Amino acid sequence: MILDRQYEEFREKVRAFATNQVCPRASELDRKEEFPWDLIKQMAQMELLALYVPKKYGGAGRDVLTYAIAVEEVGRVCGSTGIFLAAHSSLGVFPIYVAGTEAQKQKYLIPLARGEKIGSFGLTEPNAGSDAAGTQTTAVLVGDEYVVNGTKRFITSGHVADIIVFTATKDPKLRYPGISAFIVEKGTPGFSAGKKEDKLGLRGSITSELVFEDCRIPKENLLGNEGDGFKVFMETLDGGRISIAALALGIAQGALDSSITFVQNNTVNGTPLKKAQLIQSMIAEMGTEIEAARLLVYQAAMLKDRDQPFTKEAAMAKYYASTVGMKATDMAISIHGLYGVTMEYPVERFLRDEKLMEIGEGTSEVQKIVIARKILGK
Amino acid sequence: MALIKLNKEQTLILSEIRKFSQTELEPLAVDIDRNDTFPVDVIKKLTDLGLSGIIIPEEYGGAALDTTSFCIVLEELARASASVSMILFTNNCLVAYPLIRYASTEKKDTYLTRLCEGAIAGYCVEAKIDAHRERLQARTTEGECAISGEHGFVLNGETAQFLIMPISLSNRQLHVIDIQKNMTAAKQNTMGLRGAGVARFAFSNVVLSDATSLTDAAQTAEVFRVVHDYANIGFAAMSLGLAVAARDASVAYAKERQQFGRLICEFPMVQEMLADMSAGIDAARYLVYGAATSADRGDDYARAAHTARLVSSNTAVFCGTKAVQVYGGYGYTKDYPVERYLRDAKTLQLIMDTPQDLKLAIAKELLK
Repeated sequence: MILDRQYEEFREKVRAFATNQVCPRASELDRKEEFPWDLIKQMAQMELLALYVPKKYGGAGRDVLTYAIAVEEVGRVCGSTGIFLAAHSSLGVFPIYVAGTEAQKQKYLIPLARGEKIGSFGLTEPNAGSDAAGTQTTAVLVGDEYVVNGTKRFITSGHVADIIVFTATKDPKLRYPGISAFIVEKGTPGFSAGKKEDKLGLRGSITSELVFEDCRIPKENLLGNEGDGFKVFMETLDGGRISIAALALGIAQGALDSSITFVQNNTVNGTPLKKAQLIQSMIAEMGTEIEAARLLVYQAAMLKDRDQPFTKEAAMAKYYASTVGMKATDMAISIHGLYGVTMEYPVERFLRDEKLMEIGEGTSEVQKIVIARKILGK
Repeated sequence: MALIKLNKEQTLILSEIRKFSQTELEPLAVDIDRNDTFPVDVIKKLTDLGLSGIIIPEEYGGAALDTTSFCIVLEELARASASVSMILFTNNCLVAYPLIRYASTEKKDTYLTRLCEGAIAGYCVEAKIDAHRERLQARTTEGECAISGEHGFVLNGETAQFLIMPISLSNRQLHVIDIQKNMTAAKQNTMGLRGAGVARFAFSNVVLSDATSLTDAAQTAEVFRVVHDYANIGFAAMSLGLAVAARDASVAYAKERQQFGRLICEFPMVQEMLADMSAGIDAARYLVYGAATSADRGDDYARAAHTARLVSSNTAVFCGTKAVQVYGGYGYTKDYPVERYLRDAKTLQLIMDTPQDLKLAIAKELLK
């Protein structure tokens, strides 16, 4: 145990919730594409939805490391519930917490942090993925309102979110300096959630389009200053990467947990599986690499908690944890053998869920570019 | 395919099956995966093309093609739909092949003829884990035994008219048995190959005896070795097809998709993924068709088959994973075929001999 006791005690609490409440629902959420409303309510009661936000804004007043542990423990049994938690806390809550005015915090942050409202973050567009500055959605100031037009895609919790932070540009040609961040509420005329994605994994989480058609947003819903959008989303993604890294780690640990149980309880022709050297080899690789990923994730979280630069470490944590996670979930299926590819065991779900961790909030390729720039200088 | 020199007949088969695969099968592949329904119409078309008994001798109505041609068919079908390839593979490699090699004249007449007429036959994949195997219980009486319980992984099980059952009783034997009232099949929920009709069977006092046995006891060890070795070539060909599909889709997408004002195929990190996929595929291709050629020549091909499947199935999983990566967020959705390639490749990799089994078999051959 390398963390202080308070963190391990917190982990035990979340693990009990994950084991007793989330785990029994996980397979069903995946198969029926069911959104975990019940579990979200329980997470809100346990104050898990805004762990690092001060109590005066409805949060738990803890820190990013605590938050990373929560995502890890939930992700360990259910990627869908884990991605909801990560998206709500890092993408819905964070931008308002970091860039919102006091009035915006009172109006939006508090209900989000308490879990009375669901948050989401609209950055990605059909033609602006890795190239987030390529935003085509426009926001033009007309009188006291911004008129917004455009479409966002692959937005986690898009369909169910009450409060959405999104980016738009006053002119797509300007790229970075043209982009601003805004807050929009569900039900605003001209704003709707479009097509839901049918996905490989994370099928209990909702990913959808957000459509703006002459949507009028009051001027006071600008988040930060005009042209701050790039800064807001870069900061949001830096923090978000820690949560995706934590989720990748959790899913990988879940795959290892399942493998351990399987190996300890099964025999082949009477010989315990745990005596098979190639099985031992896989378990050892998974165990070692997951432990290394965990250290990277906690390091990034601790740096953020200390207000030290953490961009490189967050990118490293996400890149490494998701790479390890793909390898670990793949190995876990192989360890389970033929029946590993059936829904009798959770490992095939873990692999399907884990694949997004190499894509969302900056692909592995983008992380490598970020890391290399930090190491080599621009 | 330019890497491998084909004869005139093989070249003709390649062009025919590729045409079928691209024009008839490809448009149906999404539904075959998603609707979880056995593609009866497609199999009927393949039967009409004379492909239901690809390797079966002409006297039973088969096409009597060589192993190389068989691999061409499996690879090309898998490029469009691994599920459909798997159905044909099971009928030929796992059902017809042991019948051709070992069955009595009477059984050959009965079952091979039925296969050529379009019958679907199932194969019960042996479970290695004791707890899985013990779900099936056998009560042995004089000269026969009665099987009860569950078998969780029957290829082609959903629509099979008869089954090949490897059973380890007093000795390990293959049995062939018609579907009866005391057997019920339900869909097995698999990650991939969802249109291949993989089923879980409940057996209630199904009687196996010398009459159902495909082989005589003396041949037992050889039968399993031969069937697995031959099947590994087929598995390798299907994995190769999936890998090719994943790479080709990635190349096409990388040439269309723009980010940062450029096509993503202009980025070296994307090029690296495409090159790694392609290198694996070219290596696998030599191995697959090398093993098939050995089999056609009558050489010992065991190690070639093991190596071909090891490299090919790993390459397919790699290519499926990287293809989703090249497509990014889009690749994670069912709007594009690449996530299916990944699911199918991983499923295919673990049926019968797994990568671990293959590595140990290769080492055994090196060390003997």
